[in-house]
Amino acid sequence: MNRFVLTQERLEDLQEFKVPVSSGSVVSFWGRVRNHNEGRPVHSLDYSAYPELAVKEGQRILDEALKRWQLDAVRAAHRVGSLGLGEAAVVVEVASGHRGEGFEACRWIIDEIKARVPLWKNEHYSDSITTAS
Amino acid sequence: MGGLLVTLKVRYFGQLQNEAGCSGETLETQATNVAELWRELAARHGFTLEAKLIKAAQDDEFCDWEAPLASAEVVFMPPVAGG
Repeated sequence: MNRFVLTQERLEDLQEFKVPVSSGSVVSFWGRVRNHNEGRPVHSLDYSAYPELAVKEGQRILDEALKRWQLDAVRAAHRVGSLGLGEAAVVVEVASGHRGEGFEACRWIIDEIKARVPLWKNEHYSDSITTAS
Repeated sequence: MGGLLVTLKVRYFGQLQNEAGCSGETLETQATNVAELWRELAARHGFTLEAKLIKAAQDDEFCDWEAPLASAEVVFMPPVAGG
């Protein structure tokens, strides 16, 4: 429970997010690989991570969210390795008594993951070769 | 500069790996802090990103740019791009 995970496995196949009966709300965010970026066609991408620090920093973000909001359960996972179009790159799930804190916490968590967790994306474009960021 | 010669392992991620042509290296340096080590490596590899965009880690924790070189491994990271 309440864990941040890095995985090469498909996030769509993650175990079910266990939610207590006190939670009236579950908010989920799924970040997916889209078929275009800045006007160019994407056919796949891969993510690399600094895994030792990525897991620590991701966990710190979830722990901070649990302090800032009244949440029943929270989970986040990020893919590493090669991903195809439409596959999930990141998922954030937040269970809470009411939807207000759930939406707020979920939005905050994904923004913090994108800003703080050492992960990098390599996009493979249909019209040329790799661009690293 | 001007410190004792120390042997360090350096790791790179993202764009820095491409520019250095490797994911890491072991080297000898006289640098005494992270900023000095970065300047030395930037000159050697021709890194194109400005120092202020780079984050560093020692012992698998983010560290200050002015932090002394206190660990056997220093990691340099370009701006993160997850999600």
